[in-house]
Parts: sequence; C-alpha cells; structure tokens
Amino acid sequence: MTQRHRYNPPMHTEAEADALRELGNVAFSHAATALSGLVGKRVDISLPSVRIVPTTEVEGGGSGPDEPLFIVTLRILGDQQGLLALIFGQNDALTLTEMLEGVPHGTRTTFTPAAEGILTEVANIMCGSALLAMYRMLRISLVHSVPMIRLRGLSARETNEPLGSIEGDLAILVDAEFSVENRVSHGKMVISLHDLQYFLDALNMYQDGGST
Amino acid sequence: MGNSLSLSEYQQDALREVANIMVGHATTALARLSNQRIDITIPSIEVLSMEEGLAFASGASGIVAGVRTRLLGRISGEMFIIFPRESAFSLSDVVRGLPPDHTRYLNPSAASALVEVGNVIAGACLGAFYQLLDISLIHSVPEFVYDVPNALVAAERAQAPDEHMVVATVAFRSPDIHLAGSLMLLFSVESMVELVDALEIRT
Repeated sequence: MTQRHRYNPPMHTEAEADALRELGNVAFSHAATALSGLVGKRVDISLPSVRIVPTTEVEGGGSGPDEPLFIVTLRILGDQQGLLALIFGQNDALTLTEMLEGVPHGTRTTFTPAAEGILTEVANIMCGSALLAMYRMLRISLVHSVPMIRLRGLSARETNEPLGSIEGDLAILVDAEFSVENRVSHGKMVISLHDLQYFLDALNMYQDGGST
Repeated sequence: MGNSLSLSEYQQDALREVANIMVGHATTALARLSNQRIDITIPSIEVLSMEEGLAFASGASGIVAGVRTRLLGRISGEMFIIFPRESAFSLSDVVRGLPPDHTRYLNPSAASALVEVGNVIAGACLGAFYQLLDISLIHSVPEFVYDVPNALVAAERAQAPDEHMVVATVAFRSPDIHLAGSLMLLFSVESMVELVDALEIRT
C-alpha cells in the first residue's frame, strides 16, 4: 500500500522557498527564450510568486474571476510521476494568444483550434523548461507527455471538478506573467509530484551545495 | 554526395554516450507511459549528409509513420522519429496494451499512441543533450507524420550539400515486438557546427 506523505506547518522553509524561486527563474528564462524563438518576437515571463500550497487550493483551478478556465495538462514521467497543469482564465487565454500572434487587442473573441494550439504549445514549452531546470539544478530526470487542453466551464468550477490526478497534500503553485510589447497576460501553473518530499529533499541539497 | 562532416573517433564516442543516456531516460519514461517494460536500444548513431541520412532512414520501407517536433533553444532544428508503417502499428498496439496485429490501418488512436512514444523519445534525447553536452533545448508539441521520408524534409534542404543530420536507429523490444525506427535530428549548418564543437569539448 502506498503511504501518502504528511506535512506539518510550516509547509516549507525559507531555504526551500528561495531554491524554488531560483528553479522557477531558471525554468522560465528557458521558456521565454524558446517561446521568443517560436513566435519570432521577444516574450518575457516573470514569476510574481512560486510557492508550495495545500492541494485543496489548486484542485479547483485556483481562485479568480468568475469565468471559464482553459486548462492544459501534461503527465510527468521518469524519476517521478506527476502532473503539470497550466491554467488561464478565458480573458487571459484570449489575450495571450493575441499577443503571441501579434494581432491587436480584441481581435479574437472566440477560441479557435488555432488558439488552442498556441496555448498547448505554451504549456508544452513551460513544462519542458520546468523539467529541464529540475534536471539542471536538482538532477531529477523527467520527461512529459503530449499536452491535452480542455475548457472548464463555470458549472465545473462550482462543483470543484478536479484538475486531474493531483496527488498528495501539497502542490507547487506558480503565478506566471507573460509580456509581449507592453501587453500582459496572467496564468497559473500547478505541479503535482507523486513524492514531493523527494523533490523538497533535492531542493535542500541544492541549497546546501550538495548538487550543481 | 554532400560535403563531408566526419566526426573524430572521440566525437563519435561522445555521441554514443549521448545515445546511452537517452536510452536510460526513454526506457524509464516509456515504462511509466505504457505500464510495461519495453527495452530500448540505439544500435547506431552517426552524423551523415542530408542525402545519406534520408537514404538511411528510408531503408526499403516506403511510407513511414512517426512524429516531427521543432527544437528550440541555443541551437535550433527539428527532430523526426519515424517507423516503417507496419512497425508503427505494432508499437502503437504494445503501448496501448492491445494484442499483436490489432491495428491494421492508420487510425487516430494509433497515431496518438505513436505521438506519445515520439514525445518520450524526444524528451529523453534532449535530456541527454543537456546532461552530456550542456546544450539546453526544448521541443515543441510533436505532430504526427505519415509519408515517405524524403517528403518530410523541405526539398531545398534535402538537396543542400552542406546540410547534415544526426541519424540513429532506435530499437524497441518486448515479448510482443522487436522492431526499429529512425531518429533524425536536423540542424542548421551553424547549429550542427556548434553540436560537433560540443562533442569535441566533451571528449
């Protein structure tokens, strides 16, 4: 029988929080470079916050405006199993696709398959970058599955339909801000790992100089 | 025949080491994906001219099925993981837990399974590039391809004398299958030079 890890407050230490922020910055620096190369214009990604939160906080896609959510999920495979989800409110999703396509604000009023393709590609790059950073800093070797996108309507939000197979009591929650030519879009990234303690141990080792 | 870009023995050793690391990553991930052990080996990996590489990947098989993905980062290019048609169907059967010879014609489910396999191989390959050569690459969402190998590569590129590719044979073995496909890594001339330099530094 699989034993679930239990955590007591405080949920993570300052050292872990620092390492987590550094990991996020390394990851999204890669992602911004890759996205810029893909769309042929400069894309910046900043992280207003990256933290470890109770899974109950992210199971519903997080709090925010009362609007449908676009959720792209990828399975994480390798040394660890888990799930990564990139979540955008409808308005931010439309804005991000407009920004990356280089079309004026308000051009896109409905979500087309092409727009879904753009969001899926963004999630794919964000996930690839996050996993690359995990290897680079923590020597945890992971690959991810092909991304799947879905629209989660208001009724699903009201019933708190789960994002996917989120495991354990805690998950990593990242607030991401995408900027292209003074336009901004916000999204959230959730990373759930089967053995988060293993990941936290690696973060601590990194902070202690035990990894490169 | 294209202009030659021959690797030294040491560079070739470094490329084989990349392949070995890739095998380790890919085997673990594919086992998670398919819930069974599928052994992966890379019997050969080398740098060939575009013309030689396409001839190698084509073999005698005609139509191939697989995935194409763009490579983004310090160096850029594209990657193909392709299988002879019948091998592609067998691999998709095994990954989906279906009995041998279940898939007789191309369908979305078989294509989707192949894309997942290709995605895992691509992730493992780029992980190995970073691990051994310190080259950070991210791949785009893979797309399914089904065509003759020569048609997968832009004509002007296929005939360019200075263009080269990394070509590897990737073999899969489980109780139900024993088959092989081709991995093709196509880089710009400048990116290929950077890759070869990285192999040199590794040695």
